[in-house]
Amino acid sequence: MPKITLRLYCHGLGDCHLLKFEADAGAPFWMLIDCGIHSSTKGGKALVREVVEDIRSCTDRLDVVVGTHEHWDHNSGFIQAQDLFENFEVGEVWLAWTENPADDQAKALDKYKGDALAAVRGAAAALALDEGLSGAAERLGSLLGFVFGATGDISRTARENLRALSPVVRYLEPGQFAPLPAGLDDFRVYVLAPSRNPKLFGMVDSASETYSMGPQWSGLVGGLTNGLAIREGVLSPSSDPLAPFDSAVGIKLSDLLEGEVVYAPDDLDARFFAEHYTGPNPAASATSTAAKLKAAKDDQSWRRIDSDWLGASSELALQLDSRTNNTSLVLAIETVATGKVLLFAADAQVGNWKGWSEAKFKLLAGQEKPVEVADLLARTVFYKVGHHGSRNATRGPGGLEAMSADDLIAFIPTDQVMAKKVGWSDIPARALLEHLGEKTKGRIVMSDSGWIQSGGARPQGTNAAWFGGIEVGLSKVDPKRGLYVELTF
Amino acid sequence: MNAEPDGLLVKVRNDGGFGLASAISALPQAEVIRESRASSDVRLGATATGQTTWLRTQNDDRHPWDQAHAVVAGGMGAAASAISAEPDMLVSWAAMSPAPGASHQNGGGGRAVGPHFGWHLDTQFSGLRDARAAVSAQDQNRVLIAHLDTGYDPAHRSIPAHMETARERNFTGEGAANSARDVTPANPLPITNRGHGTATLALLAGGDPGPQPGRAPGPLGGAPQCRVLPIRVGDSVVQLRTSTIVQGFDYARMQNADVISMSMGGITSDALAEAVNDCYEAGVVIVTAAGNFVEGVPSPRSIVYPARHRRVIAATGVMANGAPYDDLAAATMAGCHGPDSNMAYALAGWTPNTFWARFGAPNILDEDGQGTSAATPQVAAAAALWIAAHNQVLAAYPQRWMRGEAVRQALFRSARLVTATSDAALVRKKLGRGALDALRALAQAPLPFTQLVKAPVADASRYMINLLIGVGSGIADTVAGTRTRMFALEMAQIAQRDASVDAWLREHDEGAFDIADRKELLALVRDSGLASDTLRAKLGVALDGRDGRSAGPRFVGAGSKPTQPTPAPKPGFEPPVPTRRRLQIFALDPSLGVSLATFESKMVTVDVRFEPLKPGPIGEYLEVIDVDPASDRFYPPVDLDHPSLLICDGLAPSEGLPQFHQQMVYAVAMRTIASFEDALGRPAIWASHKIGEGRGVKIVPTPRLRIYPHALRARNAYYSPEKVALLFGYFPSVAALGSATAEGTLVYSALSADIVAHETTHALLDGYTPGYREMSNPDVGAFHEAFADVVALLQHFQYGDLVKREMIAARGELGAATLLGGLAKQFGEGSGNRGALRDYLSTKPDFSYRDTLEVHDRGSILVRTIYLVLLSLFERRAADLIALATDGSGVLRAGAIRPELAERLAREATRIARDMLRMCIRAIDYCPPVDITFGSFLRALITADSEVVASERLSYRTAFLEQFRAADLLPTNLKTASVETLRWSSPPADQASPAWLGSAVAGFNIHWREKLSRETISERASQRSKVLHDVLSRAIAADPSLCIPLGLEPELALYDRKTGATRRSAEGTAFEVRNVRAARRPRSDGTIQEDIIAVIVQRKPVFIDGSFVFMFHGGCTLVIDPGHALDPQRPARIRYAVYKRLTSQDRLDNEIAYRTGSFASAAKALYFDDQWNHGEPFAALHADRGEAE
Repeated sequence: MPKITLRLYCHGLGDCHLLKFEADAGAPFWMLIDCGIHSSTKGGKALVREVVEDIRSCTDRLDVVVGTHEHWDHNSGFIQAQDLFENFEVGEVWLAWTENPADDQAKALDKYKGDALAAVRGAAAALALDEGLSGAAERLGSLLGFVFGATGDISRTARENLRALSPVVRYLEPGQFAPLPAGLDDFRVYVLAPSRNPKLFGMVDSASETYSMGPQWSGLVGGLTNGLAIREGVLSPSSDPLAPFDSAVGIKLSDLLEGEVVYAPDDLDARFFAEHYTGPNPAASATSTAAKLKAAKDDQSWRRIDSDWLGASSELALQLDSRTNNTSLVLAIETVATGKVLLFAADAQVGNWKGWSEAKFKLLAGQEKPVEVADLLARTVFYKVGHHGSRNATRGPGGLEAMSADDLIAFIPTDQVMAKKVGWSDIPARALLEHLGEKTKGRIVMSDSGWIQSGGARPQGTNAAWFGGIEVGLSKVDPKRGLYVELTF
Repeated sequence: MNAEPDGLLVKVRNDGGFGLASAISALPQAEVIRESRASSDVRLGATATGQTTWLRTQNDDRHPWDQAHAVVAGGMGAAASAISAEPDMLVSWAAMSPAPGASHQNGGGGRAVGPHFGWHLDTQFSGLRDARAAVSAQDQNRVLIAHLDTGYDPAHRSIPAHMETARERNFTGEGAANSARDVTPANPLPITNRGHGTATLALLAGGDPGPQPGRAPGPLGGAPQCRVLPIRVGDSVVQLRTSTIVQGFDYARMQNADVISMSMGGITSDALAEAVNDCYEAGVVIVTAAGNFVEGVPSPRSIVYPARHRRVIAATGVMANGAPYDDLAAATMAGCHGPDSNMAYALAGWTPNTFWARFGAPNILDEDGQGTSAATPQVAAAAALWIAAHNQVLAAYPQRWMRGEAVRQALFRSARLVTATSDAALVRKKLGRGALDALRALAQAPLPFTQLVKAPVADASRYMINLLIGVGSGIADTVAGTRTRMFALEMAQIAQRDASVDAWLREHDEGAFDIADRKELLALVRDSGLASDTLRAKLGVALDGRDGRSAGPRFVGAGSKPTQPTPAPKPGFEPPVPTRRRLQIFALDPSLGVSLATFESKMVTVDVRFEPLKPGPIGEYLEVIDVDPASDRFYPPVDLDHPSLLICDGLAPSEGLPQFHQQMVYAVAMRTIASFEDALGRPAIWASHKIGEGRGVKIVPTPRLRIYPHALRARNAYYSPEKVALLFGYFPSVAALGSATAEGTLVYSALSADIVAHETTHALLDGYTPGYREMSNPDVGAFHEAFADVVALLQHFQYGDLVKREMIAARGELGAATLLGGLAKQFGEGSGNRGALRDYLSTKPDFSYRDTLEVHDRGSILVRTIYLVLLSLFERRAADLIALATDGSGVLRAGAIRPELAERLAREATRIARDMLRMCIRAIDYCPPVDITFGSFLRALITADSEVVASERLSYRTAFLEQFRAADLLPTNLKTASVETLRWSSPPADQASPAWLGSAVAGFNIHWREKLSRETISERASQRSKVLHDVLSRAIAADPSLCIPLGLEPELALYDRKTGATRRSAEGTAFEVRNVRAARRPRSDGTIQEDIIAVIVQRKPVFIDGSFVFMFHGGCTLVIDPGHALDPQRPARIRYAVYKRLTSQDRLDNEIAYRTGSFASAAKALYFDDQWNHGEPFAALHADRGEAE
């Protein structure tokens, strides 16, 4: 019988899955989906390297390496273990069409992502200088670090490292069957997403360009980018198309703030500004309690807004994040003989899921009608839960609800403790867990579960038949810790 | 010191004829307060001959001084005999209650700490321990000290050895007249400062309470063997009336007291001055407290009455370290002193941190006695000891008054002129004659009678008469007429109640005045908000220099040569100050101007309340500061008071002129504020803010909301609670084809009247009820948004011209008036969503209340519902007009409708919208403090409206009910839904007036007719919150079941989120009083409704799987009828207790499900918890919608 063995690594908040396809004859086919870990994880690099070494102990050839999307917790390994990957013979690299440098739509999206990332980084740096808002900068920084990698090592570099692993790079389109080598006819790999529908990325059609990002996004990016350029003195406000008034209107704020321009004492505007915006220095010359109180009352610093406009960057960062998640390459892998489907949803959020049904597969020989996504979902027996179990990354209607197989099992690569630490209060989401629990009759494997991490026995009260098929592989570094779970379909 | 008129004192001639009897029958509930002897009336004017009698009567709704003038002028039928009248002032003695539990000396706030318990008796301090030992018990026992206070606790171990209980008296009207016991109920009723009398009595003459660790043996009091006559003049909440003090003084004199000790004081009064003079003439030594104030609270700091009279020794305070009891840290109590000219009759006792016998706890002696309350009995005790020691010499003086004066001189002459830390000048300025030294005083021999000089006569208002009639010679008072005296007395009383008048007088004490100075004072008095109409008219004449009867004000400073009066130039015609300011704005979004069809309607001229404005504009409520950091620009402020702008209704609307933007945000925000003030019956107060750092953090009121018209480069505008500011954004529009907004142009949120009104509403709501920041159920955020939209929407209909034009265009159908129904058209179009940001006119949305959780969608259901209420009411109200206009056919003829009809229809619509706006805003006072739902908002709205509109002619309430029912928004827990069942239910009669409520209300000190600055109002609100917390926590500590009718959880522990520790609350249960506010609003029948709204909140942590998830909030809004403090038939009553119980498992389950379930801003919550946008909760609500299904 043809079978697929999944080795799902449980190394922390990050994805790395090794798939071994075995047909009735011939050498096994090895597929690696993603390899990364959250940047806040202590010793993350060592963990990832341990994972890659474990892969190496299974095989020295990876027939295909799949990069689902450009996020650090999915691709950090291609930097952190770059040298170890050189020990592999890599057949092909699969990426979503969104990463194709020759694709117009992808270029627009990629430029937007790049610009937005630069704006968010700039804003984070500027916010860090503002005492009152340094907390916001920190939160923004942790988001940046999480999704786009720590300073220097950005996920974009990781993506390029991945791309360089093989001269054969395929960019997959929804509705396509990912090509498998001859002899693997027992299996099919369906590409469900990302969709080509520009709406799902917030893109609009316009006359001037084939694709451009919608006004809200470009306004947000432009406002921040130009503002930051003005702040750094690179752009003159008079040539900023996004400035609200003609350049002759108003007084240069930075001059007033730095007091570089000496105003005549009867310059009422400058005086107004000094009295009502900068205010007196509260620390100066107040000794008595009463004087201190008065100075504190006159103090204007608490209501200044020098950097508040940069707050828009958190909005942008969130959009950037969810937009990037929505470029996730989603694969459904079918064993033809049994009709069972394994679903890898990467970090797909709702927008990505919405596009699945638009994926149209061609009619194959022997079929009465083409396979539809709903059909694939109905036959799904393994679901790699999207985005570490966050609440908007598993669609209900047309998604989880359509997964009706009796023997469904779900796997969530997650780390609740780490998630809490980085401010994700609700990962995995309780409501989702409940829903999943119903669909799987309790067969949810969470990578951070005690029984896996301590390499111990199957949890009490669980379905013996099902969980009996799960092997926990122990770490070589720390034999008391489970490194992966292995399932066979 | 808070003072409020309560009753009227009328002085009538008592010549043996029918005058007195007729006055008594003419004045409601008149009672005799005192009989004056001819000699006691020191004034040479109207009543130099004959007996007079002071009566106390009720005051009516007029300003008491207006009433007083009316009585004297012959109103109330007492004309024949009324000589003079003045309000009976009810004063709350500013004395802080010892903190519950804290019984030790408190060195906080700059207070000095003494070396041990009872330190003030030591030789280096008052010397009373040595002095009392030096005078025999027998001699002491001859002396009678009258102790005027709140009564005493007979069970306390500190009780003096010789109480003259047979003769004790009580003038408060609370409890029996022949018992001076403190009648505070035995079950520990929590009252601010309860047991004041018990504590001062112990300091005065307290006995030996027996051995106690840490305390030297011996009696407590300064004069422990003297006899004490207890006289109760203050009630259990330490409120005292002028009339009770007067009665107490008279009684003490008639009982031959040698010394009066009164650790209290109040407002100046003619009757009181008479009583003081009588006592002085009788040789009674009077020692009363100089008064207290709280540092940092703007209140008068001069010595109070009667201590300010020169025939009374004013007890000031000196601290253990020798420093004056003054200049302490903010929020700390300190002692009054000054004006300088009054300090020659002041003497300092040692305070704070004296012992303080705790009422109701017989064995407890706290050590945190403070205020001049604690200083007074020390001085009085020293006087009594001196009398005891020199009894025989004193008896030999030829005149009675000499006895008292000799005592005073001995004390004054022996006082310490310098202390360990204060030099002579400082002592003179702040302590007066010096610091008390009882032992040195004993050594002072009595002066020979030839050397004794009578102290100046006590006169309630002489210095003010001089100021008022413009003569500084000191003779003028003898010729001033009754009316002038009354004016002067009113002014003197105002000086004691208004910090700025008091400060002016202190500054100008004993100095030279000129006309300008005098005018300044008169203007201050006039503008204090306390003056009667009669006085204001009088001052108006004086200030305008148009007093027909005199040749202009003359004023000569003391000691300076008379100068020729400067004739004031005769003013020409003076136009009245306008009450409204007209300003042009864009009523609808400027983009509409692009279309010819709407060109004329985009601009309107609105009027806002007139106030003098500084550039900005900066007024009383708002300050517009136009900085744009993203563009590196500061836009100079507009000066709306510039003549060029005043004559043409401000700047003409222009998108390219930032100054017009400033004008517009000002105008729209002011209109929104006015809507709130009109509806709520009290001034708008913004949220407070913190100043200082670390331990010095203080919460202070924020006088003005700040508005930044160009703060953000984003499609956003929000209210920042932390900055108490509105931040408006601008962004480039890229609109869909066919929209009015051109691609690439900028959209300014500050130019959308809807958005400005919306954001201002957030700020107002936050000032009133900060509790709604907690997003505990899907309605809370939605309500916030919807309420702001409702205000903006209903404000549309106040632009009369606009409504009329729309009526014409829509041929009388309100529902078809498209422009009016959509909010923020340009804002919505500019961001690429075709149509208005939130268009409430579109056909029924395809989502329902039950399954829509996204904040804006859910909110729009509420707004749409309220809009439909407007439509249905309009249809009803317009029906007869349409019938008239169509001869009953109901079908309008083709073509334009008549302008008269349009006008009338517009007026109906405007009126309905105004009424509805008022109803909606009023409802917020009746909403639960946390966890609001649409259903509870409806109930609050119905309840609030029923309170002010008793019978409903226009069926507004029914219209609301119908539409809420249709939209499925009714509360789920009602069996039947009708206007009656929707009203909140009142607590049962036996729970409506709990014992603690009366003391809390008395402690609030609300003066309904007073016009206060907004800053004072917000300071008072926080003081009141503290009072309520104190009172309620003590009541709950004694009886936890009191929690139940308030919806509070008893015995709730405190939880520290940082450490995760919980501990028992010392207060019975943990709770927070968020706000106590007073509202006065007219009912539909013309009467005035007075309400106190108190907001109480509790919270506790919720853990899931052992980890902290969120704080669960509960609490209660109390709507309190203040009743009448002095009328037992009308006690304070809880009208409604609107609560959300912390103990409700349903609520908890729902909130857990909501918080952990999936809802719209999931991504934000995921990454940033509640703090996602640098702590700006509204920024998140208003930013682009998150990805949602």
